[in-house]
Amino acid sequence: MRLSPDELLVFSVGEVGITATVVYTWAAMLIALPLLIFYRRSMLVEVVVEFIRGQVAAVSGREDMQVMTFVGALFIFIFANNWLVLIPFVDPATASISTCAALAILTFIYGIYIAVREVGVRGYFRRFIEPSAILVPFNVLSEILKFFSLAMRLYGNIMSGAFMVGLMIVLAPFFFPALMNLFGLIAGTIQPFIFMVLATVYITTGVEAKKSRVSHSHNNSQKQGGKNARP
Amino acid sequence: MLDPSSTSIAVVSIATAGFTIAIGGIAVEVAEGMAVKQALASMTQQPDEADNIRSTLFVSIAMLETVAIYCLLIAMILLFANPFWSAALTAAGAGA
Repeated sequence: MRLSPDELLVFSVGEVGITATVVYTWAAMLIALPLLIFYRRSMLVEVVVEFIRGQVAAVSGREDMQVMTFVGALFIFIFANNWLVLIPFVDPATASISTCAALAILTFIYGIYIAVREVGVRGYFRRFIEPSAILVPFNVLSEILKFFSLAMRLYGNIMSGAFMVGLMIVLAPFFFPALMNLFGLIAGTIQPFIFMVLATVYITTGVEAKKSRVSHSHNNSQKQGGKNARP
Repeated sequence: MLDPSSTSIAVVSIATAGFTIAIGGIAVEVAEGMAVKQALASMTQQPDEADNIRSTLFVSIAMLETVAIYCLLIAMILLFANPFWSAALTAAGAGA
């Protein structure tokens, strides 16, 4: 039994092997991108974008188009990947640890970028010596573990769903795999949302704390504006 | 025929995998049950805030669920990708 789509080599270009994970990711992108581009004026896409916008504004307390675009892309990518279970014999690419780790590393780098843009390099590193310089190792560790758990959460949830389906196909091949796939779809809908919310929290938390200390009144007005703008 | 040390590795791995899932599952399920119970009580008290409570509930349940996922990963590593078991198999293959 295959544990992850990483172990299935589809073809190789020279030295570089293209595994099933990469092919499934391409499939998800091929399905999601044209849908979003051709139906960009439709009601459904508007509902999705409005949902992402509302959630990001509610979690981070401000209307930042850049952060919203990034976490919205994460949401749609993970969602499209998770719903690949609808295609027979295809595992979601998020059932591989490499995809989830790549997404978490992207979030980590983007978080550094946003923090440096908003509060500067010194402001970013000051986060680690607060409240005291003795706590630097723990702060560094917690910063790394945040993104480690972000990757592990997505991977574990999706992989366990795919694994249970594989197990059920061996044990009771007719009815139960479909039922397990249904559960997988529920998890596959909740998990992108959770990844998006947590990524927003991790990206904006330190920045918010710093800002509120420097210019309190400005930040307050921004927060209220964000709340009022919500539908 | 397996030598006694390989057998003990297998026994300890399987038993530990079972205990990992069982104990980790109990703790996480109790915690999630408490969270859901409190959220439902709050939703019935303040139906206007139901949307806020629901999204916060999802996120916090996912945070709690992480520990169960760690337990699952460790159990699966012990069962399917056990480094000690592989080392014992290689040693047995080299010895035979």
